[in-house]
Amino acid sequence: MTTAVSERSKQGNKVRVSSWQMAMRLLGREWRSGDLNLLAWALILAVMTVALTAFLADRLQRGMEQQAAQLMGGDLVLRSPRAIPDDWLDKARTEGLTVVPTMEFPSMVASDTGFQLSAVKAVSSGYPLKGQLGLAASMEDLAPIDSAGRLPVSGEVWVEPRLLSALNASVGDEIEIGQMLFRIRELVVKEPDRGGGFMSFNPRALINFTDVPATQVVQPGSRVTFRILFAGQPDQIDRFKAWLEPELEPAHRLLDVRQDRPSVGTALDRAQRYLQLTSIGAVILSGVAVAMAAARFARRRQDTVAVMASLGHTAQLMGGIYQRMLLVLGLIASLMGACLGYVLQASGISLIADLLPVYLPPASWQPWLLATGTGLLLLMGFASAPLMQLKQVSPLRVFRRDLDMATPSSALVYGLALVALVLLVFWYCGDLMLTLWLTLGLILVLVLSALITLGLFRVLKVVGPRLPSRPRLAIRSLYSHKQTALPQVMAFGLVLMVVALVALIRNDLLVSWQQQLPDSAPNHFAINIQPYEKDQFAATLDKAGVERSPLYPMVRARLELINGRPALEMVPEESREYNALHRELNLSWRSTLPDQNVVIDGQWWDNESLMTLPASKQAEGQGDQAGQTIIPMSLESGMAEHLALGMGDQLTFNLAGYRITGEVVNIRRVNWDNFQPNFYVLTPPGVLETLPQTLLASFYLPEGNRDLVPELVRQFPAVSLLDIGQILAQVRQILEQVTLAVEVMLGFTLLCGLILLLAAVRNSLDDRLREGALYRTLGASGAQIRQIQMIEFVLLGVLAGGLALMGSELTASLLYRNLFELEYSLSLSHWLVLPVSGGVIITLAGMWGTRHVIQLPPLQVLRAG
Amino acid sequence: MNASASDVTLNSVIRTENLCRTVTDADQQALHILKGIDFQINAGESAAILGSSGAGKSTLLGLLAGLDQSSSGEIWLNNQPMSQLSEEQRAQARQQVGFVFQSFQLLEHLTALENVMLPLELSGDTDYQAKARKWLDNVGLSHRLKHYPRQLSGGEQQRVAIARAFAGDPVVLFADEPTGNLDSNTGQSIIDLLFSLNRDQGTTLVLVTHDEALAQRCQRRFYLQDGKLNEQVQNDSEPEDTATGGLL
Ligand SMILES: Nc1ncnc2c1ncn2[C@@H]1O[C@H](COP(=O)(O)OP(=O)(O)OP(=O)(O)O)[C@@H](O)[C@H]1O
Ligand SMILES: [Mg+2]
Repeated sequence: MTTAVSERSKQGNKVRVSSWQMAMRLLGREWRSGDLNLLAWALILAVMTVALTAFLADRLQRGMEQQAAQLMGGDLVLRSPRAIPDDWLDKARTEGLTVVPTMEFPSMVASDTGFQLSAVKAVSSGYPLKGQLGLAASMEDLAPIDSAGRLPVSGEVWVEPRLLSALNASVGDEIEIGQMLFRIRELVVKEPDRGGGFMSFNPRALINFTDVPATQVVQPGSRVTFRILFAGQPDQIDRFKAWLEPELEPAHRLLDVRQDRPSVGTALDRAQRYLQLTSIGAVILSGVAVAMAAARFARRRQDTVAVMASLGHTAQLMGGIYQRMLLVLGLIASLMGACLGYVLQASGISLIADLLPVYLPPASWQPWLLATGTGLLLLMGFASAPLMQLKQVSPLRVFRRDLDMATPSSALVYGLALVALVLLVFWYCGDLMLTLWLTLGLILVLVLSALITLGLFRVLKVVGPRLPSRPRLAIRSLYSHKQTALPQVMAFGLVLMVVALVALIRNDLLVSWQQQLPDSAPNHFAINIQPYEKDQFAATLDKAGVERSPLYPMVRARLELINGRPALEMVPEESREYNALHRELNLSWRSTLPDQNVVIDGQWWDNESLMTLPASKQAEGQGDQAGQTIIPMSLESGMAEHLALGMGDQLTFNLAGYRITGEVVNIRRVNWDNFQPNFYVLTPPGVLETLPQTLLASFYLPEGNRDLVPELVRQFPAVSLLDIGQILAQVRQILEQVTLAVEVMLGFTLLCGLILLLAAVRNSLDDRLREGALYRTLGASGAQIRQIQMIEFVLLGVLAGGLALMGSELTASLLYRNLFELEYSLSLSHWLVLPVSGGVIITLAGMWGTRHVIQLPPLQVLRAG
Repeated sequence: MNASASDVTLNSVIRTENLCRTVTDADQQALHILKGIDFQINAGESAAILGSSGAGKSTLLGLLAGLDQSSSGEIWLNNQPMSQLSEEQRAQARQQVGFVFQSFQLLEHLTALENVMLPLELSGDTDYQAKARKWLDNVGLSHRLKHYPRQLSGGEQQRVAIARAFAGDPVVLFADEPTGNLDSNTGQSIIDLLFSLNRDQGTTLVLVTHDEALAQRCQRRFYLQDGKLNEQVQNDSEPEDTATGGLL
């Protein structure tokens, strides 16, 4: 462009203007000639695909966030052991946020007939911010009914049914909390944000916030948790958060629903990553389509540019005009694509709205920007390289057809595409890790597949001449087209790979979610089982035919010393408030690694390793604290991270005055999502058995078998029973939601992938159509041509499928560990499905696209090309 | 092949009846290129079709060879009515036809040798390589076997196209300006080659040409004008006159 301007420096401005005018004029003309159709459609399709996935992902994600917010109690939750300054709340209100202060504290609750430690929660108007309280009509009918926004008024208490059984009271009775009398008004069976307080084993008593002072339970130093719930628009939340964060003290914990997911955290995390990944997949698919269409267009315009260049209009100028034309086209196509995507998404969702477990919020404006922006970026990254090459076309090409467009700049083609891709991926996920892994995977796949394909072409070339005429001709045709066939195979392979990857990950995600919460996941916990009653307790459950876990022994102890120094001094400052430091931890013993625990550092013990604990360490330990042995310990990874503990650190626990010291020999990652009993600290057997202990079990009670609970309570009064059915149901609902999200996205990706693949095949047929017609003029029969073409397409398809296989396995193995924290295993079915489906789809599409070759007279085909 | 060739000598190889070809342009305007053509060429004859640029010579040649479909009228190629054949049957009929395109139409991605081998391979000839080499040698291109079309000069490409048409051992050979890009020496040797084929194998030749010298060597000459075909009666003594007469 610059040359053109400087050549005509006097009319520099004029040239610039007329370039745009020329571009517009050309656009109209090119459109009529039909050569632009494919490129325009590729762009529209690409942007539509991106818009569709972006809109869907946006809505699904917001739907999931709402669910998660419900589980957490608000979009933003501030937790504090002390009252929150009023001006913080005022600030939140001026930002436009809804603010609901709540507080929780344990307190003894007494009735005329009994007393029970209960988890009191005081709420103020507006609670719950998300979802509804569920009330039961009576002790006999515990089905939840929406509270319709009602809350306990002053003097009222709403209780969990098991508190009534424990107190032997009924609705309407009066109970005492601290110094105040409350009348029991309602039975609470569903509390949307109960999940956050899962660890509070005591039955719930819900009172009004204003009644707290009158109870006189909350004194300086008593165990209270203030939970302030905030709700509002994301930007309001962000502004408030930015203001609040510098004010926070170490004791405060600020939870953002977008970052701190409640107990379904990993599921939501993975689902979100999956949605991102499918959107990125769609972008890659679209990029391939646009790149192929643009390359085709540039190829077909080489002659035009060469001729114009020979007539005195430099290739620079012509290329510039084409670039402008494409930019205008890109804008129009992007807008059209975004509109189409929006409409499709809206109608698609309204079609399946009844099947959705929850209402999906409408899409925000961001996908619009994302889709159009993506369209333009795609155009620049994937289409501008071929057009830049147009600028290099030599006018000599008019005479010497072998002066093809400069091929060395294929580095430019791939380079630009890669840059655009990296930018897009980063824009989509804002996640450097994901971007890096995906880019790495892609580069690896592209380079490897190019090498492999070239290698295979070579093999074919050697094998070809020995074959009968039809395969021989097919292979020769494929080989002689290697310059175009290579990018084609890679493009087809990439499309198949993205689709395969999306399908593969979906399968494994669903399986992992099903494993997480099978239908018979334990919905009750029994804690505080005394050793003397453990056999009887187990027998009672077994007699009732209840599915149960083993009874796990557990020793409660406080972490006192780390490496011989007071624990509080040894941990990082920001971890001083960490729960595990302030309450008794559960220690237990195992000879084998618990299910769904993964050792991430060190080694799980076997009998030999127990024997070979370093003698020096033992001696050292004994030197410090005479008469004690060093016990190997296995530590939960989250705790290790919070307290900055690692292998070899020595931990001393205090158990009612009795001290035990151990050394961390391995660190375990525990799956907290599966609602199985888990322990922070494990030791080998033979160490803790003599210490005072209780046992813990989990079991599954089917809906119809709840009568067992009162019987257990009567028979084992000391045992605390905990019904987590409510929490499980909530988590299940969320899992259902994310499953649906994943399925929908997979469906759309499959569809888009197929369409783009068909378009890409269609796009690659120019030469084949012409050559088919020429074969025809040379007397080839229809069967001959079709067989030759078919062999060629099958080879292309199987090659592409093979590359897709390799690529998806490679990328999956990278993504699984690093993004989804899933175990990766080769999926054998892919080994068959991918090459076969690649072969079938590409053959069908190719054969369909070239069907005219044997139906129309060859001159008509030649003229149409 | 020889037996069948002598069979056809008794009959017309090409015959047309009221052959018309109409096309539409971008504005859907009908353009009548051929407006009713009746003629006949017998086996073993050589015929030249002359006419001004854009007269429709290439169109006619394509129709005669069964590469295109007429708008109305009939063509008999080896006594087979082409309009009643399916495209597949026409392809069958074309196996006895060789065609040299005005624009060569070589396969860009195949070498000269592979281009010439192709029709032989398609017809199941096992000796395809040797034959292809021989034909390329005949047109003087034995040193260009491994070159791709775009690496060849226009005349060289034309000669590859001619070798490719000869290689199929056709009963009828259609050639659209076979010497258009050749210098007079090379052109002459190609013409000699054409007529030796005509003489030795009894191959029927139908040539489109602007070259009067070439036209003069043909037994019959036709002029295409205003969509009609007129035969110029043989007049060996006054070739110049015939040419002028044809153009007027
Ligand atoms: N498919 C078509 N669509 C539109 N016009 C056509 C088509 N085929 C041929 N024509 C027109 O018919 C006319 C005859 O074309 P043709 O190629 O037969 O001419 P020609 O006699 O071979 O000319 P030349 O000597 O220049 O090769 C031309 O004006 C051409 O534009
Ligand atoms: Mg012509």
